[in-house]
Amino acid sequence: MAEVATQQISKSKSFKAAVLFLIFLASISLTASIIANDKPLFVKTESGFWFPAFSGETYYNQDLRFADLAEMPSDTISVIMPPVQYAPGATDIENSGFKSPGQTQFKDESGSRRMLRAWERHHLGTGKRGEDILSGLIHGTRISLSAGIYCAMIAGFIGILLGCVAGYYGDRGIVIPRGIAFTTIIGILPAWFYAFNVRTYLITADIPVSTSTATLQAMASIMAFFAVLAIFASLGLLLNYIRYFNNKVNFPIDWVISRIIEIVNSLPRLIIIISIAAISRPSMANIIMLIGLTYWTEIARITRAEIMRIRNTDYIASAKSSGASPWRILFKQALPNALPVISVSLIACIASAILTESSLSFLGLGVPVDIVTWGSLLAGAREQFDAWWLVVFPGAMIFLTILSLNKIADTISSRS
Amino acid sequence: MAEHLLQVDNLTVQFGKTFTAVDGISFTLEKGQTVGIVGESGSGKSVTSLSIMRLIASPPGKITNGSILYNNRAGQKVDLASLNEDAIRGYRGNEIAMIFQEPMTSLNPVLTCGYQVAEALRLHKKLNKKEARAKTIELFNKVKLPRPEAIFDSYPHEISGGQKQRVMIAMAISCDPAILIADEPTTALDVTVQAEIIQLLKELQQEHGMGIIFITHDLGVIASIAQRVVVMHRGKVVEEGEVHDIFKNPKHPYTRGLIACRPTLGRKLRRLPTISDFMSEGERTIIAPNIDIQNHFQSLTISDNETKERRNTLESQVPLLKVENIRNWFPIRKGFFSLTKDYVKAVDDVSFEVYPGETLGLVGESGCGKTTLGRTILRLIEPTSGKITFKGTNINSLTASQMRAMRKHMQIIFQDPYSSLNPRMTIGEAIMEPMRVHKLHSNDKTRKEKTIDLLERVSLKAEHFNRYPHEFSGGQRQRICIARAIAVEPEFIICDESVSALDVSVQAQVLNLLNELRDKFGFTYIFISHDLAVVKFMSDRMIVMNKGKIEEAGYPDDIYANPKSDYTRKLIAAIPGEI
Repeated sequence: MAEVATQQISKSKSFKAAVLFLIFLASISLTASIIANDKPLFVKTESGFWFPAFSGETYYNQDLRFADLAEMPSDTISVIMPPVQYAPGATDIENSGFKSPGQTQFKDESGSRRMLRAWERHHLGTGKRGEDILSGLIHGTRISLSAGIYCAMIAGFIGILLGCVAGYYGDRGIVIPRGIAFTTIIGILPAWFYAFNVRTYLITADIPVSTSTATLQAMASIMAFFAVLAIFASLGLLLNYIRYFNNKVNFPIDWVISRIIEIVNSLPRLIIIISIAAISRPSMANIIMLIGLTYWTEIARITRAEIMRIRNTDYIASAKSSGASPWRILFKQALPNALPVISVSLIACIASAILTESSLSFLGLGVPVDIVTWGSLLAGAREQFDAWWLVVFPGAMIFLTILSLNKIADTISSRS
Repeated sequence: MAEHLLQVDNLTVQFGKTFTAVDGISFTLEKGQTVGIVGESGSGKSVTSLSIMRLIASPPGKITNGSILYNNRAGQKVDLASLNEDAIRGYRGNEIAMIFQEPMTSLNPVLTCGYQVAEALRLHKKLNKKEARAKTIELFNKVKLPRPEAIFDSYPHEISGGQKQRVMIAMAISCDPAILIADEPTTALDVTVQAEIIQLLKELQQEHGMGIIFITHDLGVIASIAQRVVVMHRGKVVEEGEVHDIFKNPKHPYTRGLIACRPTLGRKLRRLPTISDFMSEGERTIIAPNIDIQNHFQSLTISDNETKERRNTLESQVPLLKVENIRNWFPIRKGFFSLTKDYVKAVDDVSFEVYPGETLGLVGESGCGKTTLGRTILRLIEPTSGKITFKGTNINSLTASQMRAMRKHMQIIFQDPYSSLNPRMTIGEAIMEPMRVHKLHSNDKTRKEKTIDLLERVSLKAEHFNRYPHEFSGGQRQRICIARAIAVEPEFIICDESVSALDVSVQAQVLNLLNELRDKFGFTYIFISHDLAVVKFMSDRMIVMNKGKIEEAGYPDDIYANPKSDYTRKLIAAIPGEI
């Protein structure tokens, strides 16, 4: 059966195309600064050679930029420029004011104005300040994909963990002494305080440096939350000496998690994100974290339902009867069987995170002004309605990315 | 010669280009007669019946040769094999009806039972809603469903498996078909229900004069319903004839094997005969030593003295497991506040002891609480009250982690070999997992060696280590489950209906394997089944359970010879085909 399914998948052309498109996007986003940069890839002079595009090195105390090529030192032997010779969002006065892809484009060379050669052109046109659209698209790919993936990481981490616990233990699975239940509930507040208030600085301090370390810090915060809870739970062991606290009570973990999911779901997601983004310092990491922290509920619900189904199969009973611990059963036996379904919701999460990020930057909320994203390129068209290239190209990128992700999710879910 | 109702001639069905599922079979069916088709899984018996209905999946399946001549109501002869799709639809359900093995899945769960039957009537007989309802209730009465009006409005999950099968039969006979094809209609049911369904089919046949094609893997069942029997093996008919002749004087070694491998109540055997006793198969040839069934039985019989001796040594020991006054009551919650209104007494005040090395049989119908009892002993379900002592330890008082350590000594083999293996784990991993949990053997390399050793011990091969469960047949999967259970070297194993889902011939092999392992490693078993003959063959002592209580307990021979309760008598009477 499995072989037939894989055959069908490899036969599906649209699935292949979707995967290829995403691989294409990923390679673009990894090599963005080589493909589109206003610094030369390689400069050789009589006194040595440089790789300004890779290292950001300056020469003669000034940025080696295409625009300044004329002012290159006279001993320059050779210069290799990237295929797209503009940095995202960089001003180009000569071509400012929305130049369409086909329009004549100029360049100021040592005081005299000349037409741009074919390879120097703004291939997809320019924006208000003459910023290159193609370069913006290429660098925006990195922003969109990383936003999607980091969001899915945060949302997946919370969602899968809570979904597994709720689905596996159910309402009757956790029977603990009353003392532990008490201290754990008391511990929620300090745990929240430590993980998300005290550590705020650690997370936000990393934001300008790199999105990925900030995401890791955020995940560390989530783990810290559970660690503090665990410390409080173990404090509860001390209470066991008092008889009242030693009585076993049923902790309805499924009920608690399901209610949390419902509460988070009932909040209007976009409005929450917008209002928090409006009051906080604009940064990509903030946005990513906000999206991640609101999108985990769908993953949690699907994981919970899937684990609940698997929990009642005989192979889980057999693992139980062989003496495996609950966590071992959960992660070795149950979770691998739930993965096809969970991965569908993870991919859907990536897609909606990309979409949310694009709409936020379209609105200009929460995203720093100097970062060019697909959404912010689209926003340029608000000022000039005739600038169709500002709508078509970024719009097509967003559309194709979401379409590919949905196609992949579709194929996985129809197979399993 | 008179016209046959159905004449299958040289029928050949191929799947793809290479695999021939049915290879040139011929048989005939007369009006009012029952023909049994017997064979193991994969022998092509289901494909034969589906071909008559032209229901084989096509592609890849295709009727490549032969004819299926059917004498229709109008008195014409038609070849079902060559009819076009529209024409054959007129016969399906109307003149030729079919009932399937799995009553659980062949009814649509979102429609009421009555609606589904009435729908068929409205479609074929063009009745209006009211007439269809009246006719359906009449049919329900005919198939002896209790409270037909209530069942008309119930959903499939609300009625039992036997009742569902009766609904299916009602649907099948609703258009008064000339031929009824029953594809393993009783395999998923308890033996007691099976006996009732067979009785019902016989009565319906007398009343309507249908021809029945009854397909099963169990020759014993055939004996109680069919007049003629066709034995199929690897897509070919190996033997065909009157039921009496075949049972009295089976010519083909395969038939002899099928007849002999079913556990019977009358004999006490050391091990069950298997088909491989009678024949061994090469690639194309069959080598068959000429063994007489009765002589073979003789050589396997255990003497009374031997049994007595074994009993004495077993019972002189300290019990391994002591179960005292176990109760398992499940609350029924009703109403807005979910208050407990009543209890389902799944297990009610049960006590017994098991001696080391003994097999204790637990027999009863579905829903009698035998499975709940088994799971309660392993603490997979917590008992409401009572005490379970295993090796001198009260296991109800153990903490969760102590219990996990204790599980090394107690294992369980489940009924359904399809759902008890994790589909995403190779079988090697599945067998190694319990060893890892209990940190047996120092590293994964020695564990792997041990696993391969176990695979060979249950007659599988070392190269199966990296395969996934879906590549194995039901019997092989059950062997894998056995290997997994004995991987942690337990002392005590519960076999919960472990052979009920298997063909009779495979069942014999697995039962023999369980006994071999017991003799070799000194396991203690609790063997749970609904089939009294199987339990009698396996066990040293036996408990009959009914409605959560122990109905009767004692030595199997005594219970068989002198059953004290009506319930036990019913269980004994349900065993088909005494030879």
